[in-house]
Amino acid sequence: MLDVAGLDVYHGNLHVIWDLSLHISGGEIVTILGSNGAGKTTVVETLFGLNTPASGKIAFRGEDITGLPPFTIVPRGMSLVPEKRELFPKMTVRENLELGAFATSKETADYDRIFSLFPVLHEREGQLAGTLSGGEQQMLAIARSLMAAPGMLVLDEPSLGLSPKLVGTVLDTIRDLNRDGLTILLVEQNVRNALEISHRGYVLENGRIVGSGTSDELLEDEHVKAAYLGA
Amino acid sequence: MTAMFWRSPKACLIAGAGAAGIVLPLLPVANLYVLTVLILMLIFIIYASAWNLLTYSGQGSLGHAAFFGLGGYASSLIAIQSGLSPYITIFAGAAFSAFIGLLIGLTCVRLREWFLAMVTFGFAIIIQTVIVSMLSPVTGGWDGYAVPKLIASDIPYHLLWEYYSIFIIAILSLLAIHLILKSHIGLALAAIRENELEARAAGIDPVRFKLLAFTASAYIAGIAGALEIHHFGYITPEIFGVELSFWPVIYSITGGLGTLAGPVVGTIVVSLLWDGLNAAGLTYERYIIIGVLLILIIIYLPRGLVSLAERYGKTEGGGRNPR
Repeated sequence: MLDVAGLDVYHGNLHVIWDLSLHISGGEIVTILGSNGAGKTTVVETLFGLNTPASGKIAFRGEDITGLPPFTIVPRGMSLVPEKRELFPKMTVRENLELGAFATSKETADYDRIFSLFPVLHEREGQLAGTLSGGEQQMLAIARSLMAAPGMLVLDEPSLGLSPKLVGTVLDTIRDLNRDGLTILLVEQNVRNALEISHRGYVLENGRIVGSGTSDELLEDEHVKAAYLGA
Repeated sequence: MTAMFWRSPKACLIAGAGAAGIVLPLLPVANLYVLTVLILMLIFIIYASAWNLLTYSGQGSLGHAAFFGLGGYASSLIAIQSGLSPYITIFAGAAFSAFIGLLIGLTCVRLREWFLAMVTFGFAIIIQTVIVSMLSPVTGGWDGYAVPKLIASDIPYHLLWEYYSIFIIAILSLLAIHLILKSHIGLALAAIRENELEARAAGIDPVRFKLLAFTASAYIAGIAGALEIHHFGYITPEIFGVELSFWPVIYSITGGLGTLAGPVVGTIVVSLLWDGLNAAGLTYERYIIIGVLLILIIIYLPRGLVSLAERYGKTEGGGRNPR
């Protein structure tokens, strides 16, 4: 589904992503693990054309999408749930959802499906997004990116700032979406919870991939245990 | 749905304002002076609404007089050269204004709000200079030139006819802005204003929509400018003056930024006050009074006079308009 090869990204003169390669097959949940400042968000932004890579290639569904502007990526079937569940806080839940389907024309806008997945959003349809609780906002952020009917969803730290119980709810939702056929790229520093629902993972440190494997392998890995699981 | 719409307080207000607009000039108080005041009020309602459309997309302009004036110059020059009726050249002049707006937009839509505003401020001065100096053989420099009136002054009740034709153009302009803002374009503009990065991630091309807002705003401002000079029957480069750039800002802020009714209410209230104070002999003091009013509104009513209606009436605030 997604192939990234030899990606290098700079912020000005600062080399932040070094020769990054990764692969995600259709139907997988893959996690990129990393602590603060490892470059996780930069990777996500580069996938969506919000950063231009200095070198390397990004292919989605076999097509080269490297350096394409963001508004051409979403219609190809890859949607982003941004970090800190950034919504349009002064717009209604309904308008936020409409914006999710903006790039892909109206046909993909399946409100019935979204509202059956997230009934609470149906109740709050006319409410301003900024007045929702943290968990509801995360649900709305996910719902919004589903409005484009993507084949692959990229989630940037969906558990950030949520209570442990809500983290569980969000991750369960992600797993359910995956069971319905959605490919998922999860970017997380909440390592244990993320790996528990993932098939595979990559470990990102200082802009480099330093390890990869199946979730079980990573959960048993001495380095991962020491650095991320506090064991 | 329709029945509900007609029972809502909002619809009553709109209908009431429309009826007042139709009946007012027929009342006995409507002498030539009052009619002129009303006509200019309508023109500035169009102009302020055009400026406000730009702020809806998170952009700002302190030089909208450039588009107001270009509409006036282009329309009058076309009318004089071709002999066409001002009713046609108004829209051609506005198209020229929109074209220049598009060019300016192309060079600076990537600038954020007030940086863009400063560029437009400079641009209005540049245009004025060009009109006065390089183009003076055509434009008559500072002296200006006479232009065809919208309706010749020897026709009976010409001001009344003029009022009604401008009234119709104002209604159509407001309707056009309303339709733009209600469409998916308005949704995109609001998203760009709220969070541009996020809008891009959602698959919106901000440059395209900002340019669209800029061009549409320049077009409507051009219509207003053309109406003004065809009303006066004369044009001078003073049309590019700083005051003319700031009036739509003052009207929109007073009425309420980012709302359709804001510039309408703001223009009516401030221009009535402005002319009223003058009539009361406070010709210079009115600058201070309007200034203080503006400060008070920004502090106590940051969403303008229209937010009073939301506060005390039952008109529910839509999601995406207020800012």
